[in-house]
Amino acid sequence: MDGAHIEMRLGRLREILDGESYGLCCGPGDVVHRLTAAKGREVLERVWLSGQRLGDRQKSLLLLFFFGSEVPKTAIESVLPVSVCSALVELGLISESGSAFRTNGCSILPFEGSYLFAPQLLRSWIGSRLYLGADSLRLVETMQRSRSAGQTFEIGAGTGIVGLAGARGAYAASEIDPWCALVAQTNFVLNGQTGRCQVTQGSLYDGCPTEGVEFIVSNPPYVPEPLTLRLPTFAGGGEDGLVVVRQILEAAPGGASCVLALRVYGDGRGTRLEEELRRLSSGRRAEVWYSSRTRLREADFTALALGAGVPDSAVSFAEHYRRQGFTHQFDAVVTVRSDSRPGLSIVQAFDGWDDDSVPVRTGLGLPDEDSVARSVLNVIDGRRTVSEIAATLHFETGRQDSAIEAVLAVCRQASLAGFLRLVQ
Amino acid sequence: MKDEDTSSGSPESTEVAATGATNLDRLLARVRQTGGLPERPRTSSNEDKGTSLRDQWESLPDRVLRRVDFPWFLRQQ
Repeated sequence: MDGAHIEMRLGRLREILDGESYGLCCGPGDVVHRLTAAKGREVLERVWLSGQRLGDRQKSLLLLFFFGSEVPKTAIESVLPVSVCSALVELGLISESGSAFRTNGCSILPFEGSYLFAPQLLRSWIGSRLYLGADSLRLVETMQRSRSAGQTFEIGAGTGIVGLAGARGAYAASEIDPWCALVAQTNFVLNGQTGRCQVTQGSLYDGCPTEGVEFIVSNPPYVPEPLTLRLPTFAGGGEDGLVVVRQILEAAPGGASCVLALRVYGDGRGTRLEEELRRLSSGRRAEVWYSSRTRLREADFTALALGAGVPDSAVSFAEHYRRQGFTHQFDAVVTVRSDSRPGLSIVQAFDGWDDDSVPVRTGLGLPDEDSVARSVLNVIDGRRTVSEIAATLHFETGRQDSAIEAVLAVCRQASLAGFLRLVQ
Repeated sequence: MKDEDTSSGSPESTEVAATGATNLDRLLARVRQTGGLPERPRTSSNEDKGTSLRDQWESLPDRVLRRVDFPWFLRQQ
């Protein structure tokens, strides 16, 4: 079956998913957010509640594409034409298992009006080559906040979710894993977005347009790994986790802004990334936005060992991280851009440095009282400037209006009071 | 079994659709060349231990959930 025929079948699949209200069957629109936040139980509950009202065709689709169960061919072929099933087999998304179909670790997730072939988030798959995580969504959200519809190039397309839901304008991407590149392109076709989104199989800047790119974005592999243990391509970031980050920033085309969503590692006070950015962003402005900080625990090393496919290697990971001086992990969004004020700015959008952080609320409209009080105290103590507080509040609330201005006015007064206290 | 359906269902123009198809062709060829179709990955923890989705559901701590009947999608497994 050639690409044109597969494209036709994917169009039919889209019609069937729409017709059977697949997105509604999966629950409300935030299902991907909940799954990436490991709230599988909530999702199960919601789908169960909606599942009581579903017909057999809808249940068959959900069982195969959402839960990853084996479903008899007869049940699936009562919903999907044989040709659609053949196309999905050809793409490696489902396979035949005797008289049943099963997925190859992929699900179809509804996300903001799109359908995504994505890794099975309801179960923890080992050996999956495709990645979609909370950091992917953080990159999508960061791009959605940008008002520009300039051209975006992504390094490591994964599912293609940034192209479908994050980038406002033209989007091109590289993806090193051939099958993941195929899945991303499949998602663009499935959602009728091939006129805007394209993926190239290759590494780093392969396929990057020679001019006109406004954003270089990536959720790069960032997990530090010992030399003897290799994590999947989408995860392993070399000895200190920053190998790919360095490659991206060192080769970034001039004039483009780089936006990276990743997890970085360090001690309780800062990260190795900050040292690197001081070196790599010379003449440019770098901003690091930390949204959470957690202490590394035994369970993290166990998860790494499972990810590397060597279940008893947790101790090796723990020793490697200790040697690197990594005791904490931080969720971060990094931007590097040309600016008249070069330098490094760090914004901490979580509570406290001493204990494990609690991520602050985002996108809820108004800052809560604790957030305002914390902002004012930070200004009084000289730990944050008013402009940093402004950036934090705009990030947290997605608003830039009179309510935020009122909070900032209090911060400015506090800043003045702090200044006067210093000079008196 | 449903009949073969040849409608595209795509809102794109023919030209744009062809671009998508061409890239699909290119990527499919690359996957075939590298022998790269995925095998079903292993699952971790509970399923490695042979624990079914039903067992996972039963072990959920939330009493509210436990009051309801075993979900329809797990019952079919």
